Amino acid sequence: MKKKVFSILLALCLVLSACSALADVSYPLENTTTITIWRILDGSIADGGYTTSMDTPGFKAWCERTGVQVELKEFADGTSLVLALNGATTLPDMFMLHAANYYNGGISGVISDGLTIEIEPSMLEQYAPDYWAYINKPIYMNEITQLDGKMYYLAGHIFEENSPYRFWRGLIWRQDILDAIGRDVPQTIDEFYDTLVAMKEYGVETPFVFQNKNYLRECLATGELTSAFGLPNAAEYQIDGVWHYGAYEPEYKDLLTFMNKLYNEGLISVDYLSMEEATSRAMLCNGQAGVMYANNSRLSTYVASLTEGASLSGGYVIHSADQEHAMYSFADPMTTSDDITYISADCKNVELCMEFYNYLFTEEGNMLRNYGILDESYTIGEDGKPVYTELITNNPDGHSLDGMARSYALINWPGIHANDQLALRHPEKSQIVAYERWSDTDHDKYVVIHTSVLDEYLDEYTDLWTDINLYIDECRAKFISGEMSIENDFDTYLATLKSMGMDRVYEIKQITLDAHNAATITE
Amino acid sequence: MQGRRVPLGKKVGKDLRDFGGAYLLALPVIIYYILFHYKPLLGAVIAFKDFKPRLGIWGSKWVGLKYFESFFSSFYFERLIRNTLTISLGGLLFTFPCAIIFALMINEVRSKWFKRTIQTVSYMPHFISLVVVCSMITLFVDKDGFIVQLINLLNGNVNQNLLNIPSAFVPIYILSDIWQETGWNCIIYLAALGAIDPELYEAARIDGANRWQQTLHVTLPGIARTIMLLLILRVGSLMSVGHEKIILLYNDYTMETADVISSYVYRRGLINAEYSFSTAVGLFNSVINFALVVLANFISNKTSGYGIW
Repeated sequence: MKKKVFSILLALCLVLSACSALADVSYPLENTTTITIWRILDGSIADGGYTTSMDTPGFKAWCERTGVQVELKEFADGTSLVLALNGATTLPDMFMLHAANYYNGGISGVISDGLTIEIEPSMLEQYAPDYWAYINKPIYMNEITQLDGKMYYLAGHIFEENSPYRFWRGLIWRQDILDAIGRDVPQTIDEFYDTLVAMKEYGVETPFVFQNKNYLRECLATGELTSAFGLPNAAEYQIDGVWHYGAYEPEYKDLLTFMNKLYNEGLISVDYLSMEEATSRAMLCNGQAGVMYANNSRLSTYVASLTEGASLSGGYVIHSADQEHAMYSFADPMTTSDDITYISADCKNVELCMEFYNYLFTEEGNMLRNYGILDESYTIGEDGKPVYTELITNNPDGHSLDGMARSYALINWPGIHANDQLALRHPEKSQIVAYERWSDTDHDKYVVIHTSVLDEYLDEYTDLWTDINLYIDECRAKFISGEMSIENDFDTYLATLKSMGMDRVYEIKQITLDAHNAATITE
Repeated sequence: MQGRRVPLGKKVGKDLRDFGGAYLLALPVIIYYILFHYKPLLGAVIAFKDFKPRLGIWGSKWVGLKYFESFFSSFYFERLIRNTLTISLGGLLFTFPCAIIFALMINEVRSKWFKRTIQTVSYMPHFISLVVVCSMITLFVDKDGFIVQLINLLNGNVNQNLLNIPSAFVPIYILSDIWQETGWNCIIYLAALGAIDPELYEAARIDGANRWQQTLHVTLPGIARTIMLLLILRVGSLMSVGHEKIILLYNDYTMETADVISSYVYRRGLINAEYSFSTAVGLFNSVINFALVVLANFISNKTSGYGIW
């Protein structure tokens, strides 16, 4: 009996000591050295009157409160950052890079080229306990864990669970035109089509436009309109662990037929492939167009150019009449690929880097990251929630809210993207409504999280995919314009893709998806 | 002296002693060429390696002709070659003679003031940045642009941007090239024209040649060398059409006539960061271009007696 009690006590002691070890980084840190960080410049701080993050109050506060000196180098874009990394004899201690966009082979390329170190959970427990406590949930870990089951980076922006703010692209309607023709915001594909036709009859020259020349492709690739034809999207998705590519599926034919109909009836512009935003913006704002596929921010930036009496509203993701909501829509991952933080292979002080990074996840650091400095850039409102001060919202020097918020808070740095903060930064009520409508989909069920492929297949895959991708792009344009007949040429199109190696792409992608599913945990 | 062999070392030594100052003057240029033109040539070896920047050129592993094979077996290989040749031969056929004709025309103008003005105005577009030129082109051929309006006035029925019509791409490319470069390219011919001995014209006039005959029998032979020189150089770049203008003007519709080797290399080399692959294609291109220059020079030597070497 005594022995049992003793062992229980001993176990309790161990547990307690483990717990205390888990939250034991106190700031400011002692005996620190200078660390070097390379990243891409957030150009928006220029709207707050700054040219480098080194000078922003937010970044200064971060360094001051952690007691760490940082030598920060900011690059104009990802390409120049990658060139610098490739050419460096010694890598910086940390670098932040959207590898999937800029690095050959994406994140696995960064890993296999030996730029980064493995991040072990035991290190996180000790040096980044606050980060680890937040991130150690399946919803986040599934994204961060690589195909070999290990972690190689610290997350970038992290959305709160169920955050609608990661769904930031969709349909934006001219609400006043809808009102004038007596229609509700369309939800189903038939309503959508009828509304476009009604708009055309009402005198809207080209009812449906796209933010820029790439956005028709984006629109289909991220699942706007496709649900109605039984396709989650026209690019990659999974159904119960089986990999698919929308543009190689039979349903794609119906989608193209619909797009071709819109094209023939003048409901989309014949110039959609060369139309830049200046033109499409003008069309939407002066009523030559009635709906645009665009980013959420346009709901606020276009307001100033609208003709009098006009108003914008975010639409629903279009689906078919027998679906409750759409299958898929555009969304960022839960942990976005921007500002993913790598600790480099040449890092001299891994512990310090982790502790510095971890600060943004402490209670105090999280407030700094989202709202900035207390009593300077934010105060606590009556409901206990933080609100930005006049300095941010109505700056005496005329700086924009966004520019000021990014300068005083660390919004474009790693950390938790608080919903309350995002709400504060959206001055137009219609933007919040749009987020809610655009997030009403089964996106997470179909999404393919790891878009790269296993290392050993990378060369083969790149070789196949470059040509296939171009062929799909060209044929989409030709099918929609009618230059290729959907009735006669669609089978040839599928056969050509097959001869180009599409089936092999399916195999490689399936192997990758299997590896991903095996490496991740489910709830 | 003639026929007696002097050892090379001795010859150079004597030359150095006699003209040391001149060699010293040339030294910076020689160093420049070695550092920036010959040393980088070694880097072309990455065409045969799986180049990883972290491992360096010599640390990366050898893969032989993998990237060449991959390019030759590409689905788009034939189309890339065809488009590249179409655009560069089109340039040779239309852009190249334009500068000569323009120079001859300017040469006939009497009023100095008028001549200068025309010249300045005509080479102005050369100094506009290509990005700006391309957005100007995009505006001109837009459905509200002046070119489409003109076509519609004449007889056409165009209601879209011409850049969306595959068959219009090459004409747009070449015509805009003529507009941008003719004035600039004719400068070298004008210089050659200035060097023709006026006495030749006098003699021709005495023989009763009219202006057209003078042009044909005095002016043209006078600048023939320059024309041949530029033609040979031009043939040497048949396989390279610059990617900048292409990528600024093409889209999914016009890919089939607009996508050329350099734009393909741009996408794979810079956007996908496949350095070895794009180096392999670049090397292939350069070898063909080099062969073309040698061939053109040989033919020119044989037929006209002029040549670069």
